[in-house]
Amino acid sequence: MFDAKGPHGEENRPLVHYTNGTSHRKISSGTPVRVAEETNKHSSEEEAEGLDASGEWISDDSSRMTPMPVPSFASLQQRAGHQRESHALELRGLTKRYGALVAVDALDLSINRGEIFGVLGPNGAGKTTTIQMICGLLKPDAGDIWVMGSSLASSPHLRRHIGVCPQQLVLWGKMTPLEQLVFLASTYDVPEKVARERALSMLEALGLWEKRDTLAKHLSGGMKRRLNLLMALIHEPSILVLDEPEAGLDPQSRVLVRDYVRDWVQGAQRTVILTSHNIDEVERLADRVAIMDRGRLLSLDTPDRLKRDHQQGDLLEIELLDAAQPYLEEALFVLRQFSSDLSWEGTIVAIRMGALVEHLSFVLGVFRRFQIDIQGLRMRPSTLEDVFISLTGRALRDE
Amino acid sequence: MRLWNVFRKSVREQLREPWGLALTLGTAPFFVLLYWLFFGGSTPFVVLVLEEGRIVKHASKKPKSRELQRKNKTSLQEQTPSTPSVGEQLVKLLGSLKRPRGGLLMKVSLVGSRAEAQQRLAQKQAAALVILPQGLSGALGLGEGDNARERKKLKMRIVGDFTDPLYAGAAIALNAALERFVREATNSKMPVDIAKEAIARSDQRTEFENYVPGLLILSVVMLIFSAAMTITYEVEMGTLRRLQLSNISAFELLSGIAFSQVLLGVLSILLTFGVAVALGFRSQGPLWVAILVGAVTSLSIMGVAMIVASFARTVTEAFLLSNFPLFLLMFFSGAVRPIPKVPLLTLWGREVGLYDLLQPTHAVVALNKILTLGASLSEVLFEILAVLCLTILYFGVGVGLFHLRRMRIA
Repeated sequence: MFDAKGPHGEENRPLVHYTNGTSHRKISSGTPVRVAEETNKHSSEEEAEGLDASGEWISDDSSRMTPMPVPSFASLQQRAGHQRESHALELRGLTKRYGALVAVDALDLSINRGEIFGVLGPNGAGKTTTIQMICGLLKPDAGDIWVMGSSLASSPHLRRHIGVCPQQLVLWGKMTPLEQLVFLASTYDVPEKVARERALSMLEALGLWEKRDTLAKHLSGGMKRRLNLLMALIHEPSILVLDEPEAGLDPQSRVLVRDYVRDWVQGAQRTVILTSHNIDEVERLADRVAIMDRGRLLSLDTPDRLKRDHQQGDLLEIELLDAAQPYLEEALFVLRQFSSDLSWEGTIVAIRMGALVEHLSFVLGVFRRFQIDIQGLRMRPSTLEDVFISLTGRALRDE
Repeated sequence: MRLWNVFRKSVREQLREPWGLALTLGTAPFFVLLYWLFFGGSTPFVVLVLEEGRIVKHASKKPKSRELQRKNKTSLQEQTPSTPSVGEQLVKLLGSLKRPRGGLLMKVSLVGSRAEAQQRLAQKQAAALVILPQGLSGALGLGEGDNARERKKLKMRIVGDFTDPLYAGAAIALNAALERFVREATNSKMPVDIAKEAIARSDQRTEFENYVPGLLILSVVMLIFSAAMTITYEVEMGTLRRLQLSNISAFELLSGIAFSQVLLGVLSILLTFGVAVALGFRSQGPLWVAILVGAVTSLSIMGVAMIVASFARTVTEAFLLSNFPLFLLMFFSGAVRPIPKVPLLTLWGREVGLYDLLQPTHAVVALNKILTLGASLSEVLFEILAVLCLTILYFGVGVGLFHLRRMRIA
């Protein structure tokens, strides 16, 4: 389903091609590791299987998943065409340079239909540039974008399949929500009657029905933000680009918008590309997450698998009753044998290790054995933010 | 269809901006009203008369004696030493002159010194100063020392600021009046008569009426501001990005906005004419042709506004940038004052000048022909076609530039 350069820039050679044994539906192509990652998300059954290092399926049901021989170049091209059709969006070697700066560096990415796809990255990662190229607002220096199986470069009208909800409010202040939705729809050649009915139904769904005839400049911040989202959807795009959709929304509106977006995607196999600095927001909404930095794709997978693959362990913080306790250093010495990520500052001892819950009794036993008095403890499981930081580093980025 | 929708949206937005709407529609009619209040039709030229060698106790004192007036009417030559001085007689004559449509032509007063007169001229309190040389009375045979030889040496001077348009008008009127004064005083006759003759009914125009065409052009040219700012508003607010993603083209977007602005322009022209007519303005030609010229010129101005909007990223920038074409179009089109022709080439037997590239140049000529000379549509067809050609040119450049700079994918 996706094909991407790895964090270390390894090439994405289609080494093997895996099909579903019964339908011969193309599942994936790419490097063995990537294929494994991607294929594993198809179903829980498939997830239980996986690939070994050579690209062979480890599965009891060999008739269902069969490794295929390396195909010819022509057949690969043909298959690539079929594959593109199944993707909502496909980026191939996408590159954008601003002078010496390479904002997006040969990015390969495939986004499925019916998927909410999160894009994370620090400032300057190339997210905005990528999104602008996807929307057709920027021309790539190299590479191509395929929308619904057709090249955007050769068919610019494909832009109409994309709806964009920018982070900043982009509304006509002197028009009512209904007027601007109908007007915007008209620029996509949606008949006025259809646009009006659609707009009214959308306004109702996002709690703006009563404000349909109020000038946008008089709406509250949350209402404007909801209207901003509807503006991206009024022409019924197949792909929706959401930039920080929950910024400036109160908790109730956040839930409403989240549910609306989920329904919108599930209803007709539509696709959402979600960019945000709010990692929790992405984790809650996205089916898959791409982490970018310096114009390149660092990692791509489901949030759970990203956390698992890049985990540095859960964090346990132990608050001591007193910093000056006998045998404390001895106790920490013992614990360091099990976790190298251990720090001690004042009365706080922080330990990071995998499967912390399983090891909790052992850790507490060590403290008990060395008669260290504990006042309290806090446990925090590994988050996507930990993955993000581990991949992109802690250094501050300026735009 | 998309163009129509942009037009509707733009009109709607304008109607919801009452202050902007009032300023766009009301500026020119308001200035017409102001001009009428200041000039009330025509204001007389303020003229000063200085008699060299004579002390005037009350410079502004006017001859009031009815007997004096009666004597003035009979003959200037009948004056005796006890009768008013030559200066006072001249003041009387000049003060009695009328405009073709009634109203005083001049407001005349005697001044005591050249310094005082000079100061009033410099402060624009007077349009011209007539200096009567010492001995003029005798030279004209109005008093002692009638001497034909002395008459030749004397020189009456009309002093003033040559850059002041009022001086030009006053000097022409004074020249004729002084000539008459001298002829009547000396009882001499010109071998031939020199008479002024107005084309059409241009002599009937009041000063107020002379200003109306210029104000009309101003109301049209002022549309640069509102049109450029309306277009740039889409850029500044980011809504242009939305439109960029849609199927709309630069031509549809800009034309939709432009037509809504033209609608405003036409309304402003109608209001301006309405106010002017209500205050006594009379068009010699059909008013609807003048309105047509205004509408076509409004459309042509839109192209200039688009060019401005192509270079502006914010509404403030659009406002500042608009000043340049505004001044160019106002001052180099002849709308404010006539501009000498700078020939570029000859096209189909017509000389095309540099300023012919400015749309209001043709509009000024057409409006002058219609309003003052009573021209019909066929007589201003060339000017209307010239404006239309320039409309296509500027529109094309404006749309092209806006597409390249604002709507094209970078």
